[in-house]
Amino acid sequence: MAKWGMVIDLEKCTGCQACSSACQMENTRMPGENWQDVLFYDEGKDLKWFPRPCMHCEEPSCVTVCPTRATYKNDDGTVTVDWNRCIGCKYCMIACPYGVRFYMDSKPLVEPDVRTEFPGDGKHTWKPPYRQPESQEDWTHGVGIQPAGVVSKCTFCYHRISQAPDGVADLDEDNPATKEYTPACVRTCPPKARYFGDLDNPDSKVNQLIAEKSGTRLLDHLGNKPQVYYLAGESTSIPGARASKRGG
Amino acid sequence: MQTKDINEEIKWAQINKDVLRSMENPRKAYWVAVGMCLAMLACAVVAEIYQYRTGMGVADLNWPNMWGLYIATFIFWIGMSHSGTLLSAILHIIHADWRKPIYRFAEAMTTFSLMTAGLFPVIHLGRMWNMYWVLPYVSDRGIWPNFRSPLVWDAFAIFTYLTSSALFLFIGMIPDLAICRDNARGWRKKLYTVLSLGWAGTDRQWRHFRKTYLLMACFLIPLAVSVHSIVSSDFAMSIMPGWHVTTFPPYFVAGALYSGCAAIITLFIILRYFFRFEEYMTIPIMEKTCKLTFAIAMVWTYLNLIEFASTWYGHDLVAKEVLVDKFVGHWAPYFWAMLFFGSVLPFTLAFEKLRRHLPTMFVVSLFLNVGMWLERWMIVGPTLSMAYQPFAWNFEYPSMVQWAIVFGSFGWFGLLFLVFVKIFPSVSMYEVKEMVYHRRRAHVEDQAVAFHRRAGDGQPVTDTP
Repeated sequence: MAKWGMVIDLEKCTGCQACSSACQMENTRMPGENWQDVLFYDEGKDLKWFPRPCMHCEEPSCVTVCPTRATYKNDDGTVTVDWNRCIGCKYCMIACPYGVRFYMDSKPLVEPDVRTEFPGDGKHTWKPPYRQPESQEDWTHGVGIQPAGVVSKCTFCYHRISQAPDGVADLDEDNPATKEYTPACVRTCPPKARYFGDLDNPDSKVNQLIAEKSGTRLLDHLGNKPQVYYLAGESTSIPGARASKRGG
Repeated sequence: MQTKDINEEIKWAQINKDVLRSMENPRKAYWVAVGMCLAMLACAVVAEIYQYRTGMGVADLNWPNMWGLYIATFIFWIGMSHSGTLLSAILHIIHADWRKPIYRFAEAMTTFSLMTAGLFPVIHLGRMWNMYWVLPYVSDRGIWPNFRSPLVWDAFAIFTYLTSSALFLFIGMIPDLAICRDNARGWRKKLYTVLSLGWAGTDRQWRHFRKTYLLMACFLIPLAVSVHSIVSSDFAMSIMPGWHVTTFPPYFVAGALYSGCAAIITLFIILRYFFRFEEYMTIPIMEKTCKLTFAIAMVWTYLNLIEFASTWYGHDLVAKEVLVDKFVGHWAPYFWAMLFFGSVLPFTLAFEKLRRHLPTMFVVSLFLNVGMWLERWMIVGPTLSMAYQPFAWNFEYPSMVQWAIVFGSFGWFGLLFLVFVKIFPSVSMYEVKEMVYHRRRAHVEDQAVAFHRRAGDGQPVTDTP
């Protein structure tokens, strides 16, 4: 079984937020519920940006604190939420140091509230006309439109990657054999700053990049061991990396 | 000036009469209090129904402030429950008999504040109808709680503490319920007959009673300490800045005892005034309670200071940022208010003149609890609003729905307490009698010793151990 991981090259990233849009379309997210967020911040006189998906940690603190085991780790290394089990205590949101979990029963982040435009039917929080067919929903892995009162998060497009043939090293849209199984954000990225592959496979592109360009993980000193690696260069940096070296 | 804890000349029949009188014919003030509590509770119920029907959004729960006032108030009520155990169990074991006239209502307070606290984790759930999923029961859903989650520990701790403290309250009341049974008519007679479990006051019954009571007291002390340590684990076990502190469990326990003792002072004065319990809830007992509160307040202040120091010198930049924000940022007004009410105001308890002045103590005790509530908010709020990533920083003031539910929880607690004081004796009759008996006897013995010393014939032979 593969252990899926992502590499994001900050040198290539242009901050266009196509990944955010692609993710929202693919997973029918609400406005503001950015599973694939691109964060903008000031560093001195420069404006910097930083794409931030769920880190799908090896030692996820969200899984440890979930009282009903609704958040769990799959065999392929991804962390998903079982919406059938979630009771909405939000402890995982508090335990996650990366802030990548969302609670869609909260105040809308963007007004007007689209849930009033496309009200749900009791089973779903909302029902926009452009949603994916219900047959493709997989609530045990947090795919589709969730019921009210549960926590949602990036699944690495579990509905796609779980279909990938065994033994593939990388999921790349340039390879016709794996195109369909590639996560939406990776497929869309115009400057091709994202790579997705098997971290257990030494031949995978992701492993090579991590080794060659010394991939770094966000807030590594906390011990969550993210499976998302960042490649930083001359003009880019990883927020908190300096602080973590000094503090940790 | 009254110096004795209790009037040693008081007749036992008088004790029965005074306490039983407090349970009869509610006066106008009682109904006014009930009305107020019901109105407060109605606020919470309306707010909760609104939140339930519309979704958590109306509570302004928004990432990253996902716990808001609900969990802060949960800690507050759990904390409140600790002083009942302090008075009824810890002081029982160390034979501090001044606790006897005031422990019953404190123990009732323990049970009711736990019943209030237990509501909050349920209120804050997205799917509260599934809250029983954190309990281990075998079902075809295949849901089994995750025993590594501090939230599951919480559920166990609260259920255990609630059942044990309710049982302890009940066991301690059995001899009194028998007195009530012998003096009641109508439905009360039936109720007390059932509840007093056939108590006849025989020697054998007393021996068993004493043993059970002592065992329960011994069981309850570690339980009380562990419950608030577990509540602190909800925070300390996470890796969030400002929460990941080793002093959290003792800090929580000290805070719990502190707010509970302050609440005892408040209820002490209310009961003394409305039920005319001047003979039992005396000024010297008030003074002792105040001194105890003062001591705990200083422990709490100390633990606060070392928490600041360890965060400051620990040089965890993120935790330090949260601390700085508490002192000078968004949270500063609330934080300084907490420090003033929690650490400065208790110095009024150090002055004898103020300690003996009940109106002052009433106001002070209320403000001490305001400070302790703020403390809980200052634990939950700042860390959530200032987590690791600056993009996640978001200060959000809680909405009216949250405030209404918090406000209403006081009404719920008050209502339970008001019902209790009219159905059950809020002063322990048999223990006050014991106290009077022992004090009187000690007094007589002191006089005998003094007499013999004056006569120059050495110590008299007594049968005291």
